[in-house]
Amino acid sequence: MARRQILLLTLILLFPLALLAALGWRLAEDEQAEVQQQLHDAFGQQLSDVDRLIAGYFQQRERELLELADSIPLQPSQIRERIRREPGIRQIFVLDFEGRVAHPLLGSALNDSERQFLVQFSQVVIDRDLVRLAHPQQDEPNGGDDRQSHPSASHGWYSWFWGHGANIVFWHRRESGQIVGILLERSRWIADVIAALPETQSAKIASPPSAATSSSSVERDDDLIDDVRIRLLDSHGSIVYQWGRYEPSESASPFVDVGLSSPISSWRLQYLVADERLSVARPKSAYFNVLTGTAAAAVALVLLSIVFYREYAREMTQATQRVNFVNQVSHELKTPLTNIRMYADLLECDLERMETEEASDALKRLKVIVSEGQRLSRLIVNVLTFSRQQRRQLSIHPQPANVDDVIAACLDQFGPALREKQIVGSFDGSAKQRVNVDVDAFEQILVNLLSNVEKYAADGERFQITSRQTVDRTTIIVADEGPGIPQRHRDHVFELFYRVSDTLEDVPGTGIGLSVARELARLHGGDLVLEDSDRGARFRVELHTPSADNEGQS
Amino acid sequence: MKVLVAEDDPLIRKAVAEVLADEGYRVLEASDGQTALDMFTEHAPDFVCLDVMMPRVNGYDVCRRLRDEDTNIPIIFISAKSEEVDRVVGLELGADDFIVKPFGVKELVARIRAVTRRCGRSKPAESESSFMMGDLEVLPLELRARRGESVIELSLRDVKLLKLFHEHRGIVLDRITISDRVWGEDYFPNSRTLDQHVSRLRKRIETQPERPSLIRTVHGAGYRYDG
Repeated sequence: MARRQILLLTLILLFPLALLAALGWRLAEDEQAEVQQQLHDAFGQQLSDVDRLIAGYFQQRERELLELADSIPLQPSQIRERIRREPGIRQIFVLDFEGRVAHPLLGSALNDSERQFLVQFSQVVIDRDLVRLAHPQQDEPNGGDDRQSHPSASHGWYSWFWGHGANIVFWHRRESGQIVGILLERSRWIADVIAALPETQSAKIASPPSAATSSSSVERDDDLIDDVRIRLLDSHGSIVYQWGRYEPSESASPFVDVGLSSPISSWRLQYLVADERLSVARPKSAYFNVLTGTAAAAVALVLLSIVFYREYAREMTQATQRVNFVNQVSHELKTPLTNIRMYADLLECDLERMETEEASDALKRLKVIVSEGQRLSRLIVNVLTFSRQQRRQLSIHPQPANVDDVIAACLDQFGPALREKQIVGSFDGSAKQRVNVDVDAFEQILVNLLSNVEKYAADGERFQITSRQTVDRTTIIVADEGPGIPQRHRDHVFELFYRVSDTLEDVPGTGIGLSVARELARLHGGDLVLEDSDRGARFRVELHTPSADNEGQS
Repeated sequence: MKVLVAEDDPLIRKAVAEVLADEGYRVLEASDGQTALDMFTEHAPDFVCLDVMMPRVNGYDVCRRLRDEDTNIPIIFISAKSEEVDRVVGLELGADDFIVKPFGVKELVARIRAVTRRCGRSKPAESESSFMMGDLEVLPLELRARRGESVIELSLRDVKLLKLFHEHRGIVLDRITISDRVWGEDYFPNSRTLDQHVSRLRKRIETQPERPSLIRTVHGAGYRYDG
């Protein structure tokens, strides 16, 4: 019993705590996700700033190159001269309106650079892709990733892979339909791109001397730079450039990873952040709050439940003590009560023998003592049965007996008290088989019912007891013609301590008699019920009473 | 029939002894368990009433030791302990019945008679066979008499009294003889007690108690049964 209560208490305690912790945890997780997103956005913003710087560089080059491509005279000597003057340009080539290479023209006098260009690039580039740029009407849907410009545009960037990585060509279609392509010097534009990157004081790799303007957003987040690393990766995924004080491990994965804009869209920018940095930025406090909150609630609940449990345990102990006390007192009452009853009985015998007038007067008074002694005995038996019921020690021990004999004995016991109130009883008994029944328990049931008759039936009224028996059941009905039990009390009369007191204030009682009687009947595999009747109270006792004779034979 | 009553409460012991004596038993009283055992050895009673809670040797132990000596002797426990455990222990030890305090004289008498009947059944004695007195059949072992369908409960003393009259049919029995034979030589009931007993017995066994046909009063001499 106590273990069940502790279990219940633990459940009551654990459930809200678990709920609280789960809710708090989820809240903290949401918050963390939000913060992560914010960080992600902030870092992404930094990367886009970097990307914009690079894009800005290429836009600037685009303007210069467009002017160059539009204005350059297409004589080979002029072109060669221009290449020589511009270190950022590796080669300039011209395609005629049919897409054939017009310069450098195979078969003409070519310098080394031109020859190399033709060998390396002609098949790959000119035949396939750039021709299509020049003649958009021939364009077919092509998923090629390397085409960077819209075919219908008159100029644009074109990049492809060759050798050590991406090569970039600026092309321009002149009014004449000729296409002028400018292949940029790879090392040069990479250096320019790096130079365009924001300079940071914590840069590990020496920045190019022509430092580009620092991004304001990077400056703003200078404190972040300490624990971050931004990487610029080429199309092969090798690091071209990186800065930031943070040294990520080999396996570190980028917190943010974005591709660059055209024309080097195969390049990537990665933002790596130290875990410590992230965890600092992460709302650890939220988890801490959840934990402390839950712990505080747990402590409060535990303390509260300890207080309640102690209170409860104290009350239980007190209740047990009270039951034990009543039990003890009832036991202590037994010896004096036995003496009172025995000597009253003996005195009754003596007075009956005297047969004088004085004796018969005294006898009347003595009979009150005798019947009250019996009442007190019944009360004690009820209290003890009740106390046993409370301690769950109530059980029955059927022995062979005759039910009608027991009823007759009970009626005999109640005779004087009933005669005193001039209550007339009739007994219609037909339970004459010897059956297995706990005589004491059955007697107690019957005594409680008769005691109710005695208490509630008015003077001069009648009551009937009927007993019936089937193979293994005995039914006894005790019906009186008293005031009966009001409808609203009927469902409650068997409840412990329930008393129909508002209408019958002067009737003494403890409110345990019927409860105990029902319990005993149920232990007997039967029941005690209040039946509907026109008049008075009508109780039916059902008992499971296997035949004792059959048992003897078997 | 000798009954040993072992009970430490002197008032209860006295009352029980008185009731038993009135029923027609010879009563031995013991105030503790050890005395009870000693008296059992010395007097060999026919049955025993034992209180459970007694000084020196408690009722359960007395019961156990009595059972070792005599397996058949009827034993009734008298106890304030109505807890089932105690009841079960008592019955398992071989007690024949259990009288739970608080009890009255009627309950005590009923239990005593029931146990007497049971032990009478278990050892049928040749002298205890039933006999007829007019239309009344007396069943000594049953402590009952029967007239037609009706059954009359009798005490041991009633049976003794009826048997005495039956064995001395037609002979006037004076009060001293009756007293000696029915109450015992060491007991001196005053003549009133005897007359009252006869009077109460008549009320139960005679068809017309005011004009008795079985036990007739012989004025100045005693009583007589004419058969």
